[in-house]
Amino acid sequence: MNSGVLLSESETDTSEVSGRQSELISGDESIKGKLEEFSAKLNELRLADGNSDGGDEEESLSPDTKSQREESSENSENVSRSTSRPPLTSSIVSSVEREQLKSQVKVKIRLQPIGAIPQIQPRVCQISAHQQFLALTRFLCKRLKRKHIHCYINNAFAPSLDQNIGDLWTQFKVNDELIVSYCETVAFG
Amino acid sequence: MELPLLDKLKVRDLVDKRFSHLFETVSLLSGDNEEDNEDQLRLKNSIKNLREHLTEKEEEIRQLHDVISVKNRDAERLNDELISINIENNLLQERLTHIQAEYDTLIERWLLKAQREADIMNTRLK
Amino acid sequence: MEELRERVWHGSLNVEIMLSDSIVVPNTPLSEKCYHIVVLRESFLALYLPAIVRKLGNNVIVTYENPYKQWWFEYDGVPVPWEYPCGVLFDFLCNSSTTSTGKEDDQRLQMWKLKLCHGNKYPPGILPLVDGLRQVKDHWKHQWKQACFILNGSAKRIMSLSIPDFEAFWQSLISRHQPDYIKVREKLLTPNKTKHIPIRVWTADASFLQPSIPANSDTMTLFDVMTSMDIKLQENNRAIIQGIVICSDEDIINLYDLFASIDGFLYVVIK
Repeated sequence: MNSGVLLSESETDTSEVSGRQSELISGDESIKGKLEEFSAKLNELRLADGNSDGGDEEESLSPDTKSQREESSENSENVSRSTSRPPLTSSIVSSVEREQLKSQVKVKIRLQPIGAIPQIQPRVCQISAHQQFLALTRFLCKRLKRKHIHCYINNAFAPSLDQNIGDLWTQFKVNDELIVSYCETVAFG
Repeated sequence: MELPLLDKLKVRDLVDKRFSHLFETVSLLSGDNEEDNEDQLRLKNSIKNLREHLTEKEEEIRQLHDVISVKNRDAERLNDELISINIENNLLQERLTHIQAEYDTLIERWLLKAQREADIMNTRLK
Repeated sequence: MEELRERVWHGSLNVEIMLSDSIVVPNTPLSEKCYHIVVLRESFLALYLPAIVRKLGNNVIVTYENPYKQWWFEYDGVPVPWEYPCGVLFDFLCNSSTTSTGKEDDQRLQMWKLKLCHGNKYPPGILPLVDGLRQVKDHWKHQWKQACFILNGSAKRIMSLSIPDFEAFWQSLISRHQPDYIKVREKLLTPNKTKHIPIRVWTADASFLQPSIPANSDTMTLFDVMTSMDIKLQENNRAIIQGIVICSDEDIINLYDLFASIDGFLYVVIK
């Protein structure tokens, strides 16, 4: 005999733990995408390295997609800095081409420690001219396992983290190398 | 535009500064001075406390809302069950009446039959 | 010439700062979540934070440590960096010449609308401001060191500034005392003897370039500089410096002398 009882489904009890914090969009996805794109381009179009000084290897600094602490950051925020301003339409074809060319070219960086911090090996390495100075500081932080690092050009000034390495190299290079000195504390006030 | 630079700046300032008297001029000298007034410090502290209190309360509210929605779901479920059981009850009640009626009919028929047989026996005996 | 420099120094913008919806107390009247101020083109947005936070901070729903940390500005949803002169940011982000004009009968208001935001996590593209005024000063100092290096081939001139001189340099920005600024600036560069020009170019695709431009003895024009960067100046692609359109035949050294910003760089926005 069909009793026709309506069976009530047992719902899974979803008592949410409401740990809602006001989180801001970090935009990490778009940064990762761009960096991977450029990485891929680099790999395709890698130029052969002609000369090598005694003791230095060709080191390609891969972009660090994980955010790390930067110089003068004192607490545990994640810092990610990128050229992720919304791109406006560009009518300048040649500057786009120039950017592409930049992404293929690598420039030499000479790394010099200041004070108690260890010397990084190799002393001279190569980095894509397309990157921001930020990428270099992140690389150093990672390699030296430090949370803060202060970097200076020609033992004179600290550049802005979003300055282009290619531009810095062109402007401040000495004997085809950009001299970057690094220190755990503030070296040049 | 072939205007000399100074004239271009004049035009720029005309546009940039139009209605600027409606905007407040902030002195950059107002740096981050520490509070030197105790009252202000106290007020700032109580504001801070109130803000923290507010966030706590909002958190509580969120949690209570969650609890309420869970309880609502339970109440719904119970209601549903109640309704279905009521329906079942009604159906069974109907069935009972139906069967009761059947039973009564059968009893009547049986009694009638018994009566008829008794009558037949009675007339035979006469 | 003097008037020109004065106008550059005193250039200002009408700005509306509005508290972001995510941090404002509900039911706050519009007048209390909005602050209308005059912002100097030749200054940094970060310098205005204490006054802004002091004015609007009462209607903010979050707790904050100080008026610098975890605060930032947004224009049209895009985070605005604090480390470039305000005028440059405005010229780059908005300042379309289709808004107000200089005509006498044009009564339209030009106002830069910025949102004030606060959060535990900075959006990408923003340098965290963890050390308040000191960090702003430090940043400005290093920008000048870089500019000095570019101008003179070394940072010696700025490093050998006496401490009172250097402090006066910074204070001149805060207290808006132009003579002091000019006095110290003269110690840092000699107009005819500069090696390279500190120049930064912002192009439409949001990248900022810092080309190496040597200061030749022959006249070098803006056109020459742009050509060396493969930038074609045309009708819809013009060079904007200090909020005005600059003709490509202007002498670049003269442009630097008149229009360079308070951090030692000449900013050119290509739009």
